[in-house]
Amino acid sequence: MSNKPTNSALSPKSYQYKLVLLGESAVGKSSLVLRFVKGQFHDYQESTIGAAFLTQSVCLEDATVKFEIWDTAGQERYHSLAPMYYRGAHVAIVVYDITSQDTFSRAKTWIKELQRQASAGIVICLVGNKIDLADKKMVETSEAKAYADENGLLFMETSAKTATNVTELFIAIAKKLPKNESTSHSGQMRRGIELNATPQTDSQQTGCCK
Amino acid sequence: MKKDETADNELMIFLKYLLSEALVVGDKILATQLQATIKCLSNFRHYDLKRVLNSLRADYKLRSCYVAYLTRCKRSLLAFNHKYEKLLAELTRDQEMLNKYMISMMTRLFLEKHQRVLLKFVVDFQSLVLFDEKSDLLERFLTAKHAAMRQDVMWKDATEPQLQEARLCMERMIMSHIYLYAMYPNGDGDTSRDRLLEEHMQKLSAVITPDHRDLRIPSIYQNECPWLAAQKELIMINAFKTPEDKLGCVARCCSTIMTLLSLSLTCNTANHSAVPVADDLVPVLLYVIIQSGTPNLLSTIQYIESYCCKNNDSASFAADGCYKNAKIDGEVWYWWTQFVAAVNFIKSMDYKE
Repeated sequence: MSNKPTNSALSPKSYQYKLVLLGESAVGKSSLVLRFVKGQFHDYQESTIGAAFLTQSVCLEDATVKFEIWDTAGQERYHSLAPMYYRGAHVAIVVYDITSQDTFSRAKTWIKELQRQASAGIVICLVGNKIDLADKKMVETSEAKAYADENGLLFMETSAKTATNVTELFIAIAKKLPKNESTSHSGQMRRGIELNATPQTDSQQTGCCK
Repeated sequence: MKKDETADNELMIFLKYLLSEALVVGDKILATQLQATIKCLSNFRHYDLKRVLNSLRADYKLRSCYVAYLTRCKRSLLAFNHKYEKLLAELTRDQEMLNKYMISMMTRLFLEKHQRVLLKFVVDFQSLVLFDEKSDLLERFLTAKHAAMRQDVMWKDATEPQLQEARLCMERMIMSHIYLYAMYPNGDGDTSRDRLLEEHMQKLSAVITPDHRDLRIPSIYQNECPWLAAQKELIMINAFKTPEDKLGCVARCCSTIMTLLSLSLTCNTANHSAVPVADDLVPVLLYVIIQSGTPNLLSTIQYIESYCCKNNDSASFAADGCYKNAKIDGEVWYWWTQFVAAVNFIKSMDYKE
């Protein structure tokens, strides 16, 4: 049950956030986002020329959250460019491949870097992708979960292929976000957020919409 | 005899089928016509029916020339229609261009009337040192002139879109007055820095290939190499004067690359849902920037970061307060960030093959 204040009867507020995707090249970070952006609408076949920049909204009970999703180059040789991408980001999704320990340690490097250099209020989410390949699993759920808890990250295991937990991931992020707004420094935000509602502690999910 | 009766029956069944179809789709007129036909046909005996059908067939044969003629007519009319639609689109585009031109001429006239103020502004602008002071002054001047324009006798009946367009024109014209001071605030320091990067890129362009260790562009993407269309977009950047126009130029360059990459992808893979991603864009963008040899890149970046990003960083989302911000959407900033990142990377590259 939500214990929301008065303004819920008005038209839902919409917020806009910059979300960056970090993760090594083949971990499927773009597939994850493509699944989120397109997957819910099977008959909606807009031709995309690329998955570098995408937008998608999530409808919560009392707000619409629009994500501007920034894909980044995952190749090791471009690592030094990463700070330019996550500058001013509200959310960072760090993706690793559950079948590769290397991608997990690389993800940890990114998280350390984000905690040191990104905006103060940034929501960091650790995502283990490819759980459809459970028989080849190399990174244990408990290990990743413990790491996430230790560092105060959101954590989820997903499969872009089977769409497992994909929408759930973005809803979890959307729910977590407004709370962080008050703690983030507006000066570091690339774009402001029209947020005047009191942050909700337990708003219920009502599904997703375009 | 028996056989003829079945043929009659088949005709009836066919008509009844048509009737039921007409009823299902709710075509009342067709249904009534069919009902009348069925009723009429049921009055004929077999022999008469055959005669009726034969005469119908003969009649149809007689008209077949005419039907063919009508088909031809329709085809040529459709072709004409298509041609006219294209002409209309061209005319609409012409009209847009003429409107833009007219607005830009009128803006020029307006600014000529305010020549003295403009010259004073240019002098003031030159005397300032700090970027944010300069961009504040520019913003204030633009807003004041735009407000004055609304009062002007020539502009008082202009529509809101026309006034917005006029503001863009005014910005372009004012920028062209202060362009050199805004683009190269440190004079020779800036130009020599630009020249160094240009020379660096020139040396790189001699050694760089799509397989270079810093790029390693996958072979499936090398079809369209050297991505000339994207290079051409980028080279235009110095022809544009306002920061927004320059940003648009970078965005067009990047989206051209993405289009070319997705073209290669559809040619080379069976998987049609595959699309190019940032991993694919970055090395190609590096290649395009280096090969295009676009001059003045560092000053361009400094210019845009100081005249566009200042407003962008402040967290004002209100429509009025951040005129510049509202016009530029997130996607343009994304391409811009990719571009700046690529230029930074190029600075760190060396000439080893």
